[in-house]
Amino acid sequence: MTLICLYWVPDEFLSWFLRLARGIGIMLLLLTAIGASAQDPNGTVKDGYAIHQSIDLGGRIVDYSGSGEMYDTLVNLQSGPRVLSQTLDMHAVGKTKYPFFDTLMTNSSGYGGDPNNFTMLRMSKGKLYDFQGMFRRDRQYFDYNLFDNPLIPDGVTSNGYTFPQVTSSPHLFNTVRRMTDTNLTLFPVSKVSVRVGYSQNIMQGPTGSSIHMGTEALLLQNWRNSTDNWLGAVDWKPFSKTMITYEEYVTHYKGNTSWQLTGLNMQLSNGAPATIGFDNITVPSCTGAAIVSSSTNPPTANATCNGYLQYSRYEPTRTLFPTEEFRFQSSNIKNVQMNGRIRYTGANMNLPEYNEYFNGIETRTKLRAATTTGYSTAKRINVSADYGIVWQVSNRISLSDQYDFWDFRQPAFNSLSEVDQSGASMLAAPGAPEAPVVTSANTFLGQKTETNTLTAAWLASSKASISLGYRYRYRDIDRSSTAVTDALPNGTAYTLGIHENGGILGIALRPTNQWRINGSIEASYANRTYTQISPRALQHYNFRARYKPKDWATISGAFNDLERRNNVLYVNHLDHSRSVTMGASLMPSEHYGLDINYGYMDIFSRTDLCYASTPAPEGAVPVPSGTGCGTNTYLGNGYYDAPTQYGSIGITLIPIKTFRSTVGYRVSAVDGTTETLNPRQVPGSLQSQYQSPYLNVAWTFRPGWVWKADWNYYGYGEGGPVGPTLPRNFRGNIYTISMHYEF
Amino acid sequence: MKRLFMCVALIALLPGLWKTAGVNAAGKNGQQGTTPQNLSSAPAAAPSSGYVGSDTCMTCHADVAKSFATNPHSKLALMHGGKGATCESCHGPGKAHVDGGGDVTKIFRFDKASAKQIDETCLGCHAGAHPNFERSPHGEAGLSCTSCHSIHKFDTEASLLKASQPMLCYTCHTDVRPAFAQPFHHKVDEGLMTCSDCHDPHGTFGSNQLRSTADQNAVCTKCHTETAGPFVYEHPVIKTEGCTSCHSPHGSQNARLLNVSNINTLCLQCHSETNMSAFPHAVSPTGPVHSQAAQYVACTNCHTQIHGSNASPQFFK
Repeated sequence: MTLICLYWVPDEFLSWFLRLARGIGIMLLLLTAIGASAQDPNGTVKDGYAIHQSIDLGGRIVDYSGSGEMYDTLVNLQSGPRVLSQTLDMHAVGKTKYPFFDTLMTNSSGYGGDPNNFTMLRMSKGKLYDFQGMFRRDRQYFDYNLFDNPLIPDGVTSNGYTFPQVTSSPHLFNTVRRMTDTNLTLFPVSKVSVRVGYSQNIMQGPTGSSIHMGTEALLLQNWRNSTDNWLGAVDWKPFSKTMITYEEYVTHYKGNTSWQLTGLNMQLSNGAPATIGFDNITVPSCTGAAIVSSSTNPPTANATCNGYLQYSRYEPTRTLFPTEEFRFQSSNIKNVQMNGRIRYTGANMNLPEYNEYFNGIETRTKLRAATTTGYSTAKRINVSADYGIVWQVSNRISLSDQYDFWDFRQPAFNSLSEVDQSGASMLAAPGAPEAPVVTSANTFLGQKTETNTLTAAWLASSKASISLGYRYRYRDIDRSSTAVTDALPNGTAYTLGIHENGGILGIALRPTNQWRINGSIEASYANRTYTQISPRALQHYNFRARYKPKDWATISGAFNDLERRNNVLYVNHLDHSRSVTMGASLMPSEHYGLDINYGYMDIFSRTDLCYASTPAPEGAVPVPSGTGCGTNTYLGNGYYDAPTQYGSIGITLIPIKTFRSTVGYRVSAVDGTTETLNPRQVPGSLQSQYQSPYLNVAWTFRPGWVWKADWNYYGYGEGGPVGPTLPRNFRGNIYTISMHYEF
Repeated sequence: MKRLFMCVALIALLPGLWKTAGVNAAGKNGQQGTTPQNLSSAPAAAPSSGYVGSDTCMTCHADVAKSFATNPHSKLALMHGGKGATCESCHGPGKAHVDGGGDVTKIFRFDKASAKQIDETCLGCHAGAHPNFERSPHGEAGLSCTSCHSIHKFDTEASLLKASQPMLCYTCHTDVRPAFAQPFHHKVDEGLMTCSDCHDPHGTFGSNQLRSTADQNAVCTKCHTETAGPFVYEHPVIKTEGCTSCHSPHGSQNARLLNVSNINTLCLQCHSETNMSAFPHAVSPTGPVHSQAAQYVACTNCHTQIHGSNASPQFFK
């Protein structure tokens, strides 16, 4: 057997296997040691606790080809040993009182190298306390290379130097988010109980960004934000079926993200690293050739082109959001249930020391260097009140009403002082600092919303009920800014009032005990909208059915159609999201089962829009007279259609009690089209297929010991051209081998 | 040499596993048997009219009672000065059922009750935590608490769910499952998030049973805190219309869960001068810097702080 093994195993598999074998070997040795004093797989009783534990130790072997960046963006599972999962349950037994807990449950997953890990902990002790805690970690790598890509064509050449195409997304992400949530309830079953909680969210890591000053430069955006939340609350049950709650919530946000220039892929003639932009789809227009010499390494750029030598930006921001909430719930009055809440948030944002430094050339303004400092403050006053009531008028008729009030007001102020230094060449030092130019702005954004929904429901029979509702909503939007921009040309302030009326018809049928059908139709109309894509007219058709003929069989389906229109002249916005889906889960025998799902979805939108493009894309339509569009010369329709099909099948086979296997396949395929505004634009993921067949087996070779093996395949492919960047297709095989041990 | 080592290791491990399997588990000598928490550890409830006490229920329903010790509802015994009932708190007085020799018509059965009856029973204690349920889409659709929860046959002990998320939710919401299978999606199927992170299936005052953050912001900002603001220069539509103006939160074919594949189409849908009198921001970006065929394929190459900025009204920084 050894001889056959020697000649059969390929070399490239060896190094993987040896690394993984080391890891797994150590874990198996540990498990053997544990097994030497192994417990009953159903658990054990020790020190007054019934204890049950399990652990899955193993590893992954990953093999992929194609775009590693796209694999990391969509899958990101890598080779290596893993603690795949772990559980611990402890429950107090007997009559002894234990000081700390009666029940403790914890489980974890994904540690050792997976991009997503989580740990959950729950503890409780009788009527004294309940504790819940959760930790989650998410590593996000994102590099879909078409995202924010300027699509530089082949052959943009100056003086023998070819400007490189952008092969990664300029705005890629490589961050880790860690989230902790804890909640402690004291005296949970008492008349008065107290809750305290703490949550934390930290997100950090390098990401890509860009800046526009004459030309566009790549920035390293060093993401570092954290949020802490503290909760204190009291729940009081003054009498039967009534609860009153007061909550105090404080959120503190710290934004410490910073930006630094990166992508210095050229030099000046004095050797200083420089960049003249990352997105030059044509040769930059400079005094003289953009590239002075292509034979140096790196190439030498013209010091009079728009360019960057240095750039940095710091905006340390602190925001405090204290919130007070008072709410009540009561069903103490016969046939009446009601609840309500009032919330007040007074948030304060403070950016005390804004700091930005630019060193390069912006030829249009002859800006050679600039230092900008300043500060910003903003408040958000958020008040809301909600009340809901259900009155069971008779056995068959109920009336309900819900009223919601929400008002936020957000005044803000910003003051920046910019000291400019002039110059015409990056080879010469910046000129003398000029007098500071101070710009300041007061801004305001506010919205007040009132909504009332009145519903009458009729229980026609034990098998059918119908409800009819009417909703009225009024919104009042206020905005002002002393900073005039081309996005706000009609003065610096406006107020909009929007009235919306809608009806909702609901139906719930139960033809048999095994068969449930429910649905709703909603239609609403608004007198105006804030944006072109917000709906004036909305219709939503939503139907679901579930049939459970046997305990082992569930068949379900859904039809969901959301239609939205804004038929304003020269806008003609229309969008819909339609889906027809069905699924069946069948397990007629303890030896086999089937799970099958299918869905067809269509996402569509179109909106009249104006644009400029030189050269124009194929089929561009000139702006008709009277349409508006300013100096833009083409009228587009923003056509977007994404018909998508989804299918999955899974077959479970359990020929004997100690052997279980599942084989399956999942696929999501979209064949979409969209209007092309840029001649180099490609469909990308809009015409793609993402499939993942899988196989897993589990063999219980001894009670409490299960050997598991999984194979997962991930394949992503696009149907359209790659575009002026790297291909995004990939294929990946992931083999996961593990030992599950219960004790 | 490495190859030889690997092959030997492979073969050597096999009997090693068998040997491990042969290790004698600790014998039962001196080991306490596993017994459920004695429900009568609390003082026995003085039998009031119609109630028989959970010890009586145990005599016939031993299998259910045995596992009940680990159920959060066993706390019912601790209520009312330690005289609370357990089984009969939900199933009602059991005397008639016992006297009738186990007559199933003389006891409240959840599998035979209407949704309203079930809700009344559960919400008798849990209404404080779930006050919006009757008005919620789930409540109005005729679902009951036992549509998702099972007190005696649960999959997850934490919330007594019949099946864990998201598979439980997919049973009815078959239209949502395909969205999470698209290339770009929130990691619900991967187990990092659950449906109930964003939605409260028991209903909220908001639409689509969405939660909000404590500071009354969109639930998205619980994780995506950098978009919460308040900013000096807001992208107003985010605060007035919501994140779904631009994003499809379940899943999308488009990167960053955008509603359309081309960023510029998304922006130009609103920022076009097609009807200036109707929309305050109906202004088209003009000039050669906004030529779609130029390097400005994506508006966000320059307008990078698109969720809001404290320094630039054009969201440049």
